[in-house]
Amino acid sequence: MKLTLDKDSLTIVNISGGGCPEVPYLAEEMIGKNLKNAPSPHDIGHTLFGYALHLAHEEAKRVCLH
Amino acid sequence: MLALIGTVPDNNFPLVAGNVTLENKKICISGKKVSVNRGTPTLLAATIKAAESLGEQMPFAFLIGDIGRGDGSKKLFQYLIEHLRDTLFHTITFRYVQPMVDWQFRILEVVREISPIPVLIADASAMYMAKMAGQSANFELFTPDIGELAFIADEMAPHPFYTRGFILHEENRT
Repeated sequence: MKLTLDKDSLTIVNISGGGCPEVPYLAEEMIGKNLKNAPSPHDIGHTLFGYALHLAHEEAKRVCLH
Repeated sequence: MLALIGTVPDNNFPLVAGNVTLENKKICISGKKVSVNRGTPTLLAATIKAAESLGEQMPFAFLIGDIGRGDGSKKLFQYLIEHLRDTLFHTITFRYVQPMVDWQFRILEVVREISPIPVLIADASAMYMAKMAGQSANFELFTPDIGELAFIADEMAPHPFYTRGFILHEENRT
């Protein structure tokens, strides 16, 4: 799972990878939102794809917010 | 006729089956409208534009809401088992559906009863489902990007999460 950000604004601009219906759902819930206040895939996901995106989300926050 | 099978990320979207059109940048099917952002609706929109250009019949779609819990996909699979034989399709494309191996077997049993047997295309999760079920040979076409190919080509990987990723290490030679 891949999470793509605008470096300047930290807006989530794309979510890709995976392959079950959860992926378009996570994309719809997270794209266009700021990394600081986007919902966590850990909270709204249901499968291993959601868990994988959760890992990417945590890493993005570690790199960009700390 | 071409059939497209998939989901939209909205739990309130009902099970619909019918011919699809594109109006004001929205997919229209059985009185319902869906935005063309990602997932199954983008495939539907691209198919409609291609059909327009080629002078072909508009595609037929089977759609339902599913946000990843699989409940919508199960209802869709059950409907397909009961109704897939009702219309003569020359090609059937599976897009975003919850990968559930037992349902895959049941759907393929129904497809084999259709004469002539439709050409099957697996896209998105349908590729994963076909591989996980050991049923890839029933499909004429897969549509993987490099990340999906990394799983499909890894004979040891039971799930995309456990892909070894060796293809990704040699991207320029894939």
